[in-house]
Amino acid sequence: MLDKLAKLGHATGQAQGRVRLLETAGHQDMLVAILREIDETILGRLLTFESHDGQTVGMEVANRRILRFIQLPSDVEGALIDQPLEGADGPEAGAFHRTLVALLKDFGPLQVRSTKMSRATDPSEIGCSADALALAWELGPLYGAVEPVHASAPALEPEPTPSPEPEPAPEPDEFAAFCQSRAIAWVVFRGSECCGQSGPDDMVAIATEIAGQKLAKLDKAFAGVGALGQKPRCMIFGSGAEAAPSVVYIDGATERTVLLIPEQNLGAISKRWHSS
Amino acid sequence: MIRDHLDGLKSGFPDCYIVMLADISSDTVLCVSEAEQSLQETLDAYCCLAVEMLNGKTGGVIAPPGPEKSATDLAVVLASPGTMIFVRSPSDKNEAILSVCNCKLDTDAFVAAARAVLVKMAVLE
Repeated sequence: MLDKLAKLGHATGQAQGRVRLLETAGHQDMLVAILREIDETILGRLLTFESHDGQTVGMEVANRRILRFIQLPSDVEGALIDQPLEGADGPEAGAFHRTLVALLKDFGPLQVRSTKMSRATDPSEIGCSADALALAWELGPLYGAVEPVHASAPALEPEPTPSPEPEPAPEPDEFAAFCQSRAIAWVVFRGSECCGQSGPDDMVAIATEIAGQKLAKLDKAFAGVGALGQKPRCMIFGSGAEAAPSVVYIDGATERTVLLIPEQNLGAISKRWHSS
Repeated sequence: MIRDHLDGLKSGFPDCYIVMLADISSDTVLCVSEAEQSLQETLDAYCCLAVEMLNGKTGGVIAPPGPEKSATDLAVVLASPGTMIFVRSPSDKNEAILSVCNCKLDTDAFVAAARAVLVKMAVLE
């Protein structure tokens, strides 16, 4: 995977640097904001943070990890330059923390510049993650209540994904009936009680086994994607194999319906869901 | 290049907001094509969901039945505001295209196009 990331670092063609101003209410918030910048850097980039009095900290970052420092204020921790950073508990990470604290001693906004690295990353470079540094520096989770203010370059600000226009939720019963009409087999459960089924016994058994599973981890993952994860929702699992039916799982407020349906019905099911 | 392929796929389906390539063995978003820049944690949340549906416990227990129990290679989520589609690469089981779209998307056409793009990208590597 690191090979892929190294290739991607050369594949995106972002030759021009990006500059923006990072401004927060306090030192701790600024440290969090700096670590977020690192955490949000996937491809190989040279990140520099420059204070209003011209002090600069520059580092190579890839895959959300600091690989090494390439520029530091002349009066602090100069020995860190070009030294690989591995782990949040080592002397280099501690020195980095002291360097940032020194950089922020006359508190003010930081100018953040992101440019493409001049070299390919090496898969053997481990680096140190922003998450690990946040933990070691007792800053708490990187994504909590603190919101940095990007005071300039509004076009470069990360903006929320454009949310699709909310539409009325489809009527699950009508949709389920449509799917049932195309299914090889189906079961409907309300809690642990089966309140309807149809199809060959072996297929009903498969659907029943699926409906009986507790999917706590899936619910947790859905919680992270906002409105797109809310119930009612319909999940379709396919194998890409022509002979194997797809599993359609309709997750309503009170009922869950599991159906085995030939995969060629995917488009029709999708259209029906959104037109219901 | 990979980004060009993702851009091409997205431009062919204007109903898609985001098309990304992810390594689903390590929960990592590798490359993104999107109209407006999303927060990294937003992309991570989509990736986390895709990993769970394709590779996690959910992908295991809801794997489509067949002569031999198949791997889940395609996961689609239909919700009120839109559609999420996660397509595993036919060539590299650890790679997948993840997409967030509105309600008008032609799902069948997008899945076919995404699989074709994944095959092309595998050839690139």
